[in-house]
Amino acid sequence: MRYLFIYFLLVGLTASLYAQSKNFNVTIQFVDLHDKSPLSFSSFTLESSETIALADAEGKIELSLPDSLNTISGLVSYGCCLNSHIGLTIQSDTSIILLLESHGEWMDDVEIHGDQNHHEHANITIASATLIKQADQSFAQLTSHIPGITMLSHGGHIAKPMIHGLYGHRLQMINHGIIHRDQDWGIEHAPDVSPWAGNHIEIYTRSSAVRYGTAAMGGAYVISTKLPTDKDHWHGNIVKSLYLNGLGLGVHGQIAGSLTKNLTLTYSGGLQGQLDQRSPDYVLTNTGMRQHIQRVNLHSKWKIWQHETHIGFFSRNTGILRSAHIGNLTDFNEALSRDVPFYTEDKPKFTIDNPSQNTKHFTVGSNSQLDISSKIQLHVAAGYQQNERQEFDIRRWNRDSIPVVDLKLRTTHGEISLDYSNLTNYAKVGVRYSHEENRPQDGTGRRPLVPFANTNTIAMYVESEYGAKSFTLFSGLRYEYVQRGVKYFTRQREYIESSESPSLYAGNIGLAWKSYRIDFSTTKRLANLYERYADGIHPAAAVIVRGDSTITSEQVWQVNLSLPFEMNNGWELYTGIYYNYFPNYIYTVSSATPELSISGAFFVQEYVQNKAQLGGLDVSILKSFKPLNLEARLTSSLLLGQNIDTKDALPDIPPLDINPGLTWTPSISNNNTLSLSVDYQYLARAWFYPRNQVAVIPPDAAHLVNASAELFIRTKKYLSFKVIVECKNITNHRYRTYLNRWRYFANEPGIQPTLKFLSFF
Amino acid sequence: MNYKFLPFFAATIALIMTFSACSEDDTPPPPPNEEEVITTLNVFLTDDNGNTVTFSFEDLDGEGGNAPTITGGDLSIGTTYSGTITLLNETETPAEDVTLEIQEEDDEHQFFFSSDAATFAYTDQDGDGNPLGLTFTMTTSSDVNDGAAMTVVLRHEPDKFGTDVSSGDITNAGGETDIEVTFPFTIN
Repeated sequence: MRYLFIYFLLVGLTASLYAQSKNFNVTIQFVDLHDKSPLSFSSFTLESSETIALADAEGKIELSLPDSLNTISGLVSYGCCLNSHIGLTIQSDTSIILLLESHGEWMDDVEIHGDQNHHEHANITIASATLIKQADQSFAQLTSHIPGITMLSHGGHIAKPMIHGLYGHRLQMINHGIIHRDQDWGIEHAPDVSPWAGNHIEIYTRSSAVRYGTAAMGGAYVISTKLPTDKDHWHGNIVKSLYLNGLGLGVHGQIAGSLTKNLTLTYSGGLQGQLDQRSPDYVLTNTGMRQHIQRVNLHSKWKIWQHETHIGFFSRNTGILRSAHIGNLTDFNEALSRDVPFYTEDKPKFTIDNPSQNTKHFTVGSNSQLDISSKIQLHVAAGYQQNERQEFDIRRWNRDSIPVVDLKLRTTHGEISLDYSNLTNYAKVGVRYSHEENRPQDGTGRRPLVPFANTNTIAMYVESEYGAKSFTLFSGLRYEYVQRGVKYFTRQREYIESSESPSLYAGNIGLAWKSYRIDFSTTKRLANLYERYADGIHPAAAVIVRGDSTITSEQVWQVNLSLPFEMNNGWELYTGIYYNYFPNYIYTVSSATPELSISGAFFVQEYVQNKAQLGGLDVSILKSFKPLNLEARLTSSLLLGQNIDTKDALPDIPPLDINPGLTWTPSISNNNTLSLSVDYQYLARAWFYPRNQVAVIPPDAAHLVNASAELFIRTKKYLSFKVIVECKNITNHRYRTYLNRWRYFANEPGIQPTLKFLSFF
Repeated sequence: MNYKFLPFFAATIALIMTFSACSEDDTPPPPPNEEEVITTLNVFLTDDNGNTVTFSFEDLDGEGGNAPTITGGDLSIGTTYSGTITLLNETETPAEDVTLEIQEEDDEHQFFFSSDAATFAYTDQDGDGNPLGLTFTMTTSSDVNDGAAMTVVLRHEPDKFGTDVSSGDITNAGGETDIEVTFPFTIN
């Protein structure tokens, strides 16, 4: 009956095509990428008409297309495990052989730089295979190899991504439409979300403030869940990881499939635990972690209505390097010059002691799409998040179980937007309301890092894209009206209640020609609660932080130029150039000498505001040597940041890095793939840094060698496997990095072998 | 338009609204009484003749690190001294007078004194009528003693209503120790 239905569709399709006055005759043969065998009786669903064509025993279909339809796209399905979207441009009668990969989503391992359709694609998309392979990594770790993206960290497990030198309050994580607030990202607070929270991640490395809010002036990570392409079977994967430095285990899994004809479910979960890590010469005491992730997505699709609901949970308990919490000024000053830090132990330990950080993040959201016509879609979204953070320091008199930082945050949002699109033009208009509550908890004995606050935001935005020939002009505007009320006690116990109602905005205009693109944008964001009111010890950062309540907002003017070149001879070159001008850049100035506090001695970081500029260059070169199955690549980033008022360097600017690498994929058999990679990472010494703000000059250049081997054992049936052996810092190099704030106290981890076993079904 | 999934959609929205309705009180927590950084503690002991002996403790780099400088003194047999305590944080410039802070937060602090060669009595009180200890009397024993010691403990947020706490027994005081110093002295 099913085949009869497809037959009639095929006949119908053929008949309708023949009815045209002039047709292209197109023959497509679907062939397995590995053994080159035909994919017999595979089906091809044309997206334009949703008609299905069934291939013959040789995997061939013949289509007769009207001349008005010179671009065809659709979904190829074969057996249980091949669902591949293809798009073809047809100019004349033609025959095409398409080599297709079953479980292609597991094999595609390349970040895609796409710049032509701003509304559809961010400029970087993380391939699903990368996501699966690195299910246990943080966002910062996952993307730190991408030119222009680095990470600012406090050890290996607390790391936040940095795009073109901008981080924290200027980057946004959008998790299924929910903008992660994460206690306003204090000076050291990694995003409480894992890449495992979705199966599709897009990254905007230029301003995405029009779409995602003024706080996304530096970029955005957009996490979503794609619908499973196979409606007939359940598919998933399990990733088991064994870490040999910081001995630990990780188990991550996901599964997706249809519950009913119109309802699909995607679930992912993960557990991970690690002991203390080791540098080449000593144990990095109290650097273990525990992490727990759960996420469920339900997608329903009914004719013109699609609906997605998601519930996510994330928790992490992270040890803070014990050597960073020093009790007195004498030992602190000695710690800065010691070869072996204080408080190192002989063996890594499993327990996580104080100082430590515990975070929990819960999200629930709903996104609906109504296809009003083939060109117009209505989107309705709502979401809720709750974030909890507790931090513990080294305290006296058996009060170790009482956190010194205890914060809760809740947000709710609703958003309605209308999209119009045709082949060349696009427009979007939307309105978003959000309510945020910051609630410091009682009983810590310390003044809260983030004060009691309520923030309401109403945002309106419009985006447009106009295409003509090979040019595309795009623009966008966003306006935000914010009402924020803050209540707190000063150090002198004076009660302060203040409110403000600023107007914020973002705008961008850009031009794309072929794949080249230039963007101009400006954004004004509200100063963060932490930037304004933080006052006290931040144990996870091992610093004393002082905000400045007179700072109100920050504005930036940005230019981004993207120049991707793809040549026929196997060369690919991507160049990105950017410049940011801040009339009032908000950043922290660090004291060069420590201050004694009741929890010990710490550096002090104070928020200030200055005129500043940031500019840089990203380069990525790829060369494929097809006959040798060899791929060579080189990525590099250069960034400079300056305080224009004082002509001094800005702090925390990533130094030059150069990363050449080689990947060899020898042919071992039709269905198995072996991939061997080696990377060299050169991290230059930061030579442009604020010399009056550091107690110790930036660390020397580092030379790291990383290697990995991947064996993919592929079947056409229901189970495939991948074994990954990877080793970071294979030479056990002793080094420190400028953007790791533990650099004052300890070396980075040494050799880090990891074994991963991935099974796909 | 088909309404088959409307209940599903509505349930999700309702769930979100339910969560968002869980708002807590609209008042911030009361201001905490943070512990003090104390680098210097001076005890001034004055007899009836107006002679003053000063015991001092100074630890400018904080707990650990360089050893603190502790200076005791010579006291007279069977003599009652009027005691006064001052506290400083000398890591700041100018030095912060922590004594004033203790006076302002007198209900959340209490000094405790102990010695095998002297007895003590409080001569000041907080706003609730409980002892504080910034001023006190110290009566030395009637025996010569070359190796006597006096311990001063400042407790932060003690339970002043604990058993015998008001009479100076630290056993049931709880709270946190802001500073604890033992001074050597002689009795001649």
